[in-house]
Amino acid sequence: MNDDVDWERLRQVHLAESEERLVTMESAILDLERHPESEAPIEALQRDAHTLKGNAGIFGFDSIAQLAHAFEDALAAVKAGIRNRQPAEKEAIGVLLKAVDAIRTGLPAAEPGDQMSPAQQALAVELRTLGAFGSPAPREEPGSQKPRERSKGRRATDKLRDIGVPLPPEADRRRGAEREAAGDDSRAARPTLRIEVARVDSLVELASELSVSRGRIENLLSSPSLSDNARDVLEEAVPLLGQLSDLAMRMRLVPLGPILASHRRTARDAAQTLGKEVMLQITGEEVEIDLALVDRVSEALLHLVRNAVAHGIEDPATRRSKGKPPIGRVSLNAAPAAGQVIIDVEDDGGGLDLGAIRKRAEELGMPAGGDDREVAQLVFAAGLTTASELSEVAGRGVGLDSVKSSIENLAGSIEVHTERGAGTLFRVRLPLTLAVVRGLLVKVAKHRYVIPIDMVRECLAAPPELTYQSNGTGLLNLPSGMVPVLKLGEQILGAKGALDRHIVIVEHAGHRLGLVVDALIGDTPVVVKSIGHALRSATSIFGAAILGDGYVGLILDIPDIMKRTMALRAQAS
Amino acid sequence: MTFTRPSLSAPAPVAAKIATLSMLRCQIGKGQYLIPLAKVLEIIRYVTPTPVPQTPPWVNGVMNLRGRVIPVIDLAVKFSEAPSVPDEWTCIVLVEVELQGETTTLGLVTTLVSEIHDLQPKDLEPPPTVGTQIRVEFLQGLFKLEQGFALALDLDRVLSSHEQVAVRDLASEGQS
Repeated sequence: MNDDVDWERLRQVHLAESEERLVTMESAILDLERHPESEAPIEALQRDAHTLKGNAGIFGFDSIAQLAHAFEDALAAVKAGIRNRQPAEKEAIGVLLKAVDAIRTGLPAAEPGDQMSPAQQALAVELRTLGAFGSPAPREEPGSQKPRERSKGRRATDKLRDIGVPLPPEADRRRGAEREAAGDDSRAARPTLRIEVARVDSLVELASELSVSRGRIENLLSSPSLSDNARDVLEEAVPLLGQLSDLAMRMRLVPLGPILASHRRTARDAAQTLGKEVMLQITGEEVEIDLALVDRVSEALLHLVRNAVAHGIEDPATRRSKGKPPIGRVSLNAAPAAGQVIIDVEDDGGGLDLGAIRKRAEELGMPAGGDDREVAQLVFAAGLTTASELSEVAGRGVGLDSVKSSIENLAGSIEVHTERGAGTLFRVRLPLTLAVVRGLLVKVAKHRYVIPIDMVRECLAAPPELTYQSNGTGLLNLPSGMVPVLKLGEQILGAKGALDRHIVIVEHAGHRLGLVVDALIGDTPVVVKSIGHALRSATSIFGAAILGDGYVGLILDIPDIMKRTMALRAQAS
Repeated sequence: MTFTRPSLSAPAPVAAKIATLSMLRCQIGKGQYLIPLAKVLEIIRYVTPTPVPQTPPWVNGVMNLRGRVIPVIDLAVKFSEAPSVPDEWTCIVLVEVELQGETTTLGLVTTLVSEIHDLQPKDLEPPPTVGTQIRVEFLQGLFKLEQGFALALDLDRVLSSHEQVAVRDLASEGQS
């Protein structure tokens, strides 16, 4: 029985490793597509395919091993072709990608000593055929005309030349691609250790306990009765404890690179379905994000990238007629920003048709006033699709409204900027981590609460002339405009005896709200903890945090409180 | 035998060997209750929990247990009595219960923690159908002790989310 458990564990590790390898391989294949004359991506692929085959062999997964073997054959052939100055053909790229997919879907189902399924067999044949065609007899004829001009396949480089994009000398480009691949290798060579997330989580939990102890020790250090010996030891321990907590928190962060890279495939597949030409550019691979956010971020990016390809980028003919390069550009840029991560999904397509959006919104009875920027944000409204027909690629019933709500559920936000004819930019902002939040500590009716500081715009004393309605809401006149306010204690927290002396202006998704509290205590980093599903009926609460003195402070769910305020104000009017 | 619920003692093989039930007797509100010792993690002095808005009236709030956030439940309220008033004897008994198939740690406010009894399963009597406010399905049964009757709680049932929802619904119906 123990053996079963070990086997299952090994298998899980193998699956996870292989999945990472497959993503890297996909990237390398797409590199090859961009630089069809470069050997570097093929060499990287050969190493990965070889490891994949070896690992499958260890487990006895014959089907996968055979598939990987056929894949290696195909790679060898493509490489031989390149050596003979025959760049990799588009068809070859397609077959290689198909093979990666087949290995990906085949791995979870693989059994020791199994045989290839008919579909896998067909693919293996396809891979080997590629080998047969892709490796013609060597024809090293120095000085003769370039064979690439004779080959009939149209390649990206030819297209670039067609549209007058100046191409750097062949040698330079090849070296560039090789440098890229070498860079990848040096990253991969950094030693890593696989750890169960649960273990990291318990470490983070312990570290947060330690930070509570640290707070206590700091208090102790200010007491005069402490002996010099004790003071020395404790003073030494305090910064170490701080570093330890910081390190533990950082262990949950993973680089965005693989997630961003996996969407090169998304863009490519969507473009191919729609008969468009798209290149996905990526920057900010090194930006880190909390592991807990990864899956949902990737899901949101999937929709945004598909959306950019389907609705943003025009078809090649239209692009040519507008004087744009026929290959559309979609870029995924990640950048860190003060406790947040910004991910931009930008295309150089046609931009949003604001007139059509306005019209559609009016038909649906939605308020569609405001400037162009505000109208553009209506694309996130449910039921508003401006594309004349839902395409299979972008449609699928998942609209930008659900992308928006899933991002907001992660305490993030999304906004759109567009220029007719020039393109559209979707800007996603996410907290760096859900595990640690910088919070503004406030007091309401003797209890302390945490407001995520990312959302806090300003704090002010409650003006004496401010009046409230019976439901605890009011309107505050600020130089920047009228802001609704809400007595936090009375309406949200059900607390009696609130003093209502200060107002914290928070902003989320373009809306502002003033939260009326008793006192402002200060800002502090807090570790977000779930209050558990035993209390799942609790609302307006995002989680709990252990404060410096061990007290449990509740973290307020600002988007939810905003919704409630709107409902209260709607009821009253 | 009336003892039909094997869930009373956690690991079945151990129970078969020992054949006695270790139960912690404590006072909740005015009643005497028995909690299976296998479910008890530890007993700590009462600390005022942080109230959590929009939770059922018998949820006192959440507390910090060495860095973990634990809900604190006042069963007195759940058993239709007045809320517990903490004094120097008030304790929080930390128990591990199954909620929707997940093991969850909860704190129970107890007026007084008395002692541990080793009881024979054969002495478990069916729960009384009259004379108590508590719903019969919350109980394993009843033990006659030297100190009087004590009701053995079926914690998984008392605290199950299904019950929480039911009671919350009842409470909101009562208000409207």
